Amino acid sequence: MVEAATTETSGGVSRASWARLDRVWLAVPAVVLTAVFFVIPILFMGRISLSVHESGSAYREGTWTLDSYVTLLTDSFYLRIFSYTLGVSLLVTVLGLALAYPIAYWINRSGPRLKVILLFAVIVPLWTNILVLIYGWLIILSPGGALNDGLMRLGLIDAPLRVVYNTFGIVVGIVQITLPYAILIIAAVLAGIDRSLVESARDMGASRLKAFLHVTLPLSTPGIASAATVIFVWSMGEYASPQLLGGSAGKFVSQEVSSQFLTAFNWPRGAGLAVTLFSLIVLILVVAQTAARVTARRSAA
Amino acid sequence: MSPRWSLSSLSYRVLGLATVIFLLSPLVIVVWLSFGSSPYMAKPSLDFSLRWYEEIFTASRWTGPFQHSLIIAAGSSVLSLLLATPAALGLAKAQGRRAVGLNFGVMVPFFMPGLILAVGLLMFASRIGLSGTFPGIMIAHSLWGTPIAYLAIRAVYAGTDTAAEEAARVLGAGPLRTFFLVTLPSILPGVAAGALFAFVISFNEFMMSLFLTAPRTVTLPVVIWTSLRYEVSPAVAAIASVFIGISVIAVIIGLRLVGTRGLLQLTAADAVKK
Amino acid sequence: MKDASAESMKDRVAPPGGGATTPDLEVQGLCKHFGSVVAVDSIDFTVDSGEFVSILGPSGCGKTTTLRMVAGLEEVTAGRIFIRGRDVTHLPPEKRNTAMVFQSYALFPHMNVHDNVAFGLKMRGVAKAEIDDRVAMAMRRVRLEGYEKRKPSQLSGGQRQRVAVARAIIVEPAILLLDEALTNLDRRLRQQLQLELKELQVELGITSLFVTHDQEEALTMSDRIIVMDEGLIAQNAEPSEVYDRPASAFVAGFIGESNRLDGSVVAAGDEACTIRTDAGLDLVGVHAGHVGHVAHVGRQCAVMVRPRAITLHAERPAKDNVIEGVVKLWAYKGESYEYVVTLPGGGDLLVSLPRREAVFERGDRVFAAFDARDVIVVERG
Repeated sequence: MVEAATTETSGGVSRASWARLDRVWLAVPAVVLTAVFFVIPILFMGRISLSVHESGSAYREGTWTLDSYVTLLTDSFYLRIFSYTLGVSLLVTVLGLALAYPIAYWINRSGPRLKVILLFAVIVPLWTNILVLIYGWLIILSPGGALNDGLMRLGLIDAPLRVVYNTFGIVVGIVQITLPYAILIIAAVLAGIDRSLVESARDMGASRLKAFLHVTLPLSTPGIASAATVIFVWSMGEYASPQLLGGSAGKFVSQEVSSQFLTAFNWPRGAGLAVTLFSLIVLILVVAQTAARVTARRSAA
Repeated sequence: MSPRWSLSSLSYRVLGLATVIFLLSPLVIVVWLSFGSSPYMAKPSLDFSLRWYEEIFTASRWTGPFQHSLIIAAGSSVLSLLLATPAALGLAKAQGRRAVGLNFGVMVPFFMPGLILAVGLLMFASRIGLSGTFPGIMIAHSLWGTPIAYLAIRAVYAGTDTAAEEAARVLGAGPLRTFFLVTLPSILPGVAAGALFAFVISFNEFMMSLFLTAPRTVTLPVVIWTSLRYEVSPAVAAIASVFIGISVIAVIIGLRLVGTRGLLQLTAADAVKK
Repeated sequence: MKDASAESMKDRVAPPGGGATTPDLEVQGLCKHFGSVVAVDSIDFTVDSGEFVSILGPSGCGKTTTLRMVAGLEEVTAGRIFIRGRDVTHLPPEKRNTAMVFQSYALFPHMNVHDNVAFGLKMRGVAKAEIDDRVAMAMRRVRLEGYEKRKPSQLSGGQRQRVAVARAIIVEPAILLLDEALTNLDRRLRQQLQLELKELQVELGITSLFVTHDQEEALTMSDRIIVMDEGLIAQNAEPSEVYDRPASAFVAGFIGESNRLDGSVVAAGDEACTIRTDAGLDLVGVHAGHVGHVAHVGRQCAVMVRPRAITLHAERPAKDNVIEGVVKLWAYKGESYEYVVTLPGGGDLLVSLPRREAVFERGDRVFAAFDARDVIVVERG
């Protein structure tokens, strides 16, 4: 393995050290940031999730208990929360991919000028505060809002549609937030596909649709997979959309985490929820990563 | 009519256009509302007024947090650059297990939801006295700012010729002079893009801010959050429009700095490079 | 880490003994390992003052790694490097007083030509007036006067190469290192710049170490050629000697075209030796001193013959070595004709004739002939 060997100096520590490959230690400060302000807090959170709750002071130091996890596993309230979060996230992922692919394809096929315009339309929402986006949807979707008003004026409906403060509202919000990422990821992967492959398929008599289905689509699966991962992970941890656009239909895990910390002041339970959510997300990322590596290896072989 | 406009090629354009309309409609409606005079959060009207802009630029309940946001975003992007630049230089051209591990260490917070980071930091920051302080929230935002700046700088540096730095060394420049005279000028677009990305991320971030700021450090997104939950004033629309304006400007600068391809790949790489 | 300088004495050129001046560069037992891969395997050589030495070899032979270790851009695994008698083995590149011309030229893209060329002098703290004078002189030397304000991106490949050379020579380095410095240029420009560079080197008397994979370039420019193969020095000698008396089958095959016939020594006298090829042909070679160690009876060896050393005849000529064969094909090569002759017992012989002396066609029976002194006997390898 030559590539693995090049950074490894035989003596371990480099001496005359400007061999360009031996500068990896420059990344240490950034990794320290991660270690101190991400890893340690997560460990800390894990520790607190195993402490006894004490009303008035959030948790009692130095105590050990599995109470918060026992509650999470036995109380059907928490199972409902997790299944609702998972269910909505799956729905959002499917919808997001369905919307992202056509425009990503369009971006890739368009000339330089149109491409800039389309990218602009995609990246501006991406870089806009998500609360602003949610606010916009509140105006549009609220019972007396722009959508219902317009539809009623056109005489298409008699009574306002219930399109916000329910699951639909949450879905709209999360799709809006995550869609730009999905589009850009898929567009980037599509841009990397060799056009000549598609053209040769066309030369061999495949119709445009067939060439797409048998060449472009399979080659863009890595993009679809990472877009799906991003949407799903984002949705699992999303807080603002369910809080502002959701209603009584269900609660997201993050909402419960937040209320345990900020309202109920039950830190062990909040931490237990957060640790569970964190573990789920890590699991998803690891599975996605492993799957990507396996497919990459299979297609390379 | 050319055969390019077949049914299938028309369909993705129509779907794409619908998606663009979907993505932009909340922005359009917010900007429209911000120029109205109605005191209610409702359907936009056709009368034009700047009263909400006047309010947000004069009332201290808006201007204070606005300043906090700017201070935090500036501080966080500086911190992100200080950490990301050396990391990018160290890892952009490195290979091997050690480099992969360090790269993972730099990137991992980027893929964590704000809520997880916020909750973790809430408990930890209060322990070490960073809760509610400017440095505390700046550090928190750098958890996202550092990886994004790192990606931007790494992408630019990976495209430069290492031999130029080597030439400088052989010609008598030490490591520091080589960095300032040769490396830095060549990665400047990446550094600028990285600073921009980190700034925008911090300026927009609200989850960590919600958990970690105190009244004297509260940021604009947190104020919007409170306002959206309890009493929605169209002044929020004006603030929101300011956010949209900043986003538009940032995208224009970003396109200038790294071009369409760069921006496309960078934003996509964020998510793909795990 | 072992000190390997005592090994590989075989290829070692003895440093000039007492009284002689110290070489500008001396490399002792130099090793470079990348993990388990051995890139350079304990090599020794020197470069004397004013000498132009090329390291020649195929890609992956360790030549560039060697050069980079001399420059200080790559750490050494073992061995020592002396520049003008000073041990620089563990000094950083900026303290070695070398200069390097890179394959990619490595010009600083954000600086104009003047600032690029002036860089080394600025780093040495030379006064501005003197820098300007010396830059002007260097620009004249590489015939680029008037280009000072241009950016590298506004120059052609050849001009960039000249700027890179000017930037290197202006610091008057103890040794000038050139890493495939002409490889990125097209053929005609490369030949022109070979001559220009050589002229400049001789004029300024700059000690130079030049890495290339192009044997023609090495033959044209060098006072001495070090042929490397798999991290070892295969031969270290003057160009004519490397060409005429290659030390191994590898060197013979790498420098110039040659026909190779494997066999073994069946007779070895003081003047000549006879080799019987595996196909059963007996060939007579001169018992040259440097191949003496292979030329004893029973020893397996390889016989190398240059295509230009062979002539073709319709009748059996009176030559030291004559092989009968059949013309398989021929090709017009501009200044010469190339024939491929099939030998009895299999194998082909490549023959290059200066002009079409006799018209042989495909299928003709011919006699290929060459002198004993054109037979190169080397170890198999």
